[in-house]
Amino acid sequence: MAKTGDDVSDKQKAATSLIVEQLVQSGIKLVASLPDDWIAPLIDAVDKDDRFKHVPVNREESAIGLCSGAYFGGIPSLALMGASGLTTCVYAITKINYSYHIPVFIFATLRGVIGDPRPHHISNGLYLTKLLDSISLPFLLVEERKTIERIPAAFKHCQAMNRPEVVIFSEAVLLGEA
Amino acid sequence: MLDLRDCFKYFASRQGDGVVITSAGVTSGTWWRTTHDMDQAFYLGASMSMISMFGAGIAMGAPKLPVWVFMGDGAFVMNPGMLMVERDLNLPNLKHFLVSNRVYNATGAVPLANAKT
Repeated sequence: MAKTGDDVSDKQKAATSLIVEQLVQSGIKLVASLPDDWIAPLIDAVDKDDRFKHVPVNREESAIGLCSGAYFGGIPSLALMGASGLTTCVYAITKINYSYHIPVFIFATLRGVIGDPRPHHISNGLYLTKLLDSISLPFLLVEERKTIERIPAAFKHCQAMNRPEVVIFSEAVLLGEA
Repeated sequence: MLDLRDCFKYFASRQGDGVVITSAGVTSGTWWRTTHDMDQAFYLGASMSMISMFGAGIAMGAPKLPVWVFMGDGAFVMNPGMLMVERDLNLPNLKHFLVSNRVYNATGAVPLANAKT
């Protein structure tokens, strides 16, 4: 079961609310998501918030496709996913968004780093940020609570540059412990 | 067998104000050769299997605009789960057409898996 409602600590609820408010400030209206357990409370919060249209998608590339089309439909959007999902999106991002200069705003998780006990995320710890660097995909690393407030600036930059941009959250920030 | 160019001529004659999105290979090439349209068509060639999601995003933002997506079966088999999302979205202005030639036409007309059965 995903961590939702009463399963989530007050600190995590506060961190989730702060992130949601940054999305509102950014003007985000559409969120396309595929889960990672770290962002399950955020997905739940977005789903229950009438200020967003939440679309659960079948795979992360579909979120990229949907949000890219939404750009032409005039809907500010977010593709919300885990680190592993983001690594599967290299084709879609480089082909759709780079070829046609379509901005897409992405949230992902900083999996596989020190503190993550899941051994199957070792590849994300080793390669995620290096992979993004290798395709010149800018990212904002959110490892402290105060950095959450830079989300609207990151969204604005993404739109101004007509390029994809990623915000990557540490587990401690998502838990409200950093 | 239905000739694709004749088929596209028919669609183009009924397109009205709507927009068309085509995937890589035969759908983009044939729509272009048939219509030479650069105003109401988006040739999303570099997008294996993503055009219906792309079209859904446009259709959500412009609910009165008819959005037709023409997807080859090579693209379709790469992401059939998109149909689950399309069903959830239930967008009345989005139409998803499948062009079936049982090959990956954009990459050398190599047969799809299970194409011969």
